[in-house]
Amino acid sequence: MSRLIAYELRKLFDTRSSIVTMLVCIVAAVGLGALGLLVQEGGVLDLSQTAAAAVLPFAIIAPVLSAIAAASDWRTQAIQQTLFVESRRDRIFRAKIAASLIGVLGISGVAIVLAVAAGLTVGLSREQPMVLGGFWAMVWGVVALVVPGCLFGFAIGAVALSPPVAVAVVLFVELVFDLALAVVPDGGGRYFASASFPNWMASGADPLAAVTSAALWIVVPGAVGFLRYLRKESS
Amino acid sequence: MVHLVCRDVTRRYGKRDALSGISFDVRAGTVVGLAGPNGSGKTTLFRLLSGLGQPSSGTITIDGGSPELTRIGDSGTGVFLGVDNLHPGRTVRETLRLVAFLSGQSRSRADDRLEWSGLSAVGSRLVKTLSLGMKVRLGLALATLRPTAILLLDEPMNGLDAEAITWVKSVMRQFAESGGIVVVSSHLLNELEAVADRVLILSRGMLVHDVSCGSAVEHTRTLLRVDDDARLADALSETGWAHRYSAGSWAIDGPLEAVGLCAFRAGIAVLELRDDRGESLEKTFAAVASGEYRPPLRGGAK
Repeated sequence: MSRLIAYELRKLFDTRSSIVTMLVCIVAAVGLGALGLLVQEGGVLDLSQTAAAAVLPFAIIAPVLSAIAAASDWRTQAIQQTLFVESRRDRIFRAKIAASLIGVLGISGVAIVLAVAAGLTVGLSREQPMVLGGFWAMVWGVVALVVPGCLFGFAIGAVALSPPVAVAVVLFVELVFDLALAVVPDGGGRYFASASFPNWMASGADPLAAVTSAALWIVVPGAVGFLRYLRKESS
Repeated sequence: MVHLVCRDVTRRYGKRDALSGISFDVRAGTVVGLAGPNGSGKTTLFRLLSGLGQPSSGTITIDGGSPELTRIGDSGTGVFLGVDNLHPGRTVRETLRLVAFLSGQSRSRADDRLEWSGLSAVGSRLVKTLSLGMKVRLGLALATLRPTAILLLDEPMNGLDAEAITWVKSVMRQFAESGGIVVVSSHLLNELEAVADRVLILSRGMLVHDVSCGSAVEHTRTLLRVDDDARLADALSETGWAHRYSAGSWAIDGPLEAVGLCAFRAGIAVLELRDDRGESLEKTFAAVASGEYRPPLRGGAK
């Protein structure tokens, strides 16, 4: 299984387009971290806030990359090359999820390190006092943002088995659907919002909404996607 | 020695039978061709043989093992199902090294296949920039990356120039001569006839003809009509030749002279005796495609 995970992980980074995509993600994250530095001009520079700002783009990046990871092999038929060697599709499914999680967490880690390094450089050049407050809380915040996002994106990708469709659905849910639900009176929309589950992971708030959110956007599409993986003809 | 056996393999999609009751067996050292009109079930059969799908009923066994052994990951089957399953954005070298990594093969094995396929000079190029012939070479390098006993090649000669076709045919012959089994499909009947020991013709999901090619004695088939079928059945049972009876004719896997002699010694009057190899593959195929073909091998052994 570890070989299969390593194989899927390698596939995330071994094409020019995937490398460019990862670099763009990291640059975007570090750029946002740099913006975080600007708003902290004067006073004490909190590097945790810089890191937290750098992670924000991963609310979108994590599900999009995972959706592509779940679906792209089926689109290009390259899944056959995997199936010729590993015929157990459940193992392929699990390996792809693991690789997506490891890959996206790794990229976000690189982005955080670079953002913090940029913060250090700026702080030192400005001779500004610096702190790294709430480090573990920041790490947990990253996990709470990236892991549910990955699982959500992967589930949608596995259902669609088409990268453009999966990415469109992910972006619609994240950028339109969730925002539309936010204006529902009495906050009833939170039970259907994809963000409720990561919000609960980050803050512990509203566990019931987290359960319905996880069921609606991770468990159910994940189960359907798993069945699709098992039964889809790789023609 | 490897032995591939298909028994009554049927594949249904809804109410439609894509394959129906396919039975054949292939022994080591053989190149078997698969021919048939579009939609005849060749690709479906390849999918089942390669483990990408499972039969609705029937079994496919390799080396006399259990049906589970038909899984290619377990049985060491090399598969080429065209060039569409090559990721266009990956380099040639990385494509080979990636699959080698998954297969537990060394990086040097991947580089060795790169050289074997004649693609060393284009190793750093993206797959999407390769010509069709180069992609086929890469596909065959991937199919032979692991030590394999069975090579399944779906249309490997389509769209290739003469030089590339010659190379593909030499790969197949060398593989069979080293003790392996090659199952290859193609619309290029002349090329198929030239490289294969046997050709199976499919039509509407059924195996309608099994024709021997070349001079392989063990695949010689004789058609025979006699005046006493019961006595001939007794006589044939002592020879060990595979035989089938249908619509008044016998199809016997034995050389013409020996079959005639067998009937003569049994005191049976021979009404018709002819070599099944007389019909060209192209002629048979044309009859199958036009729907006018009357299969000589239908029906069970008598």
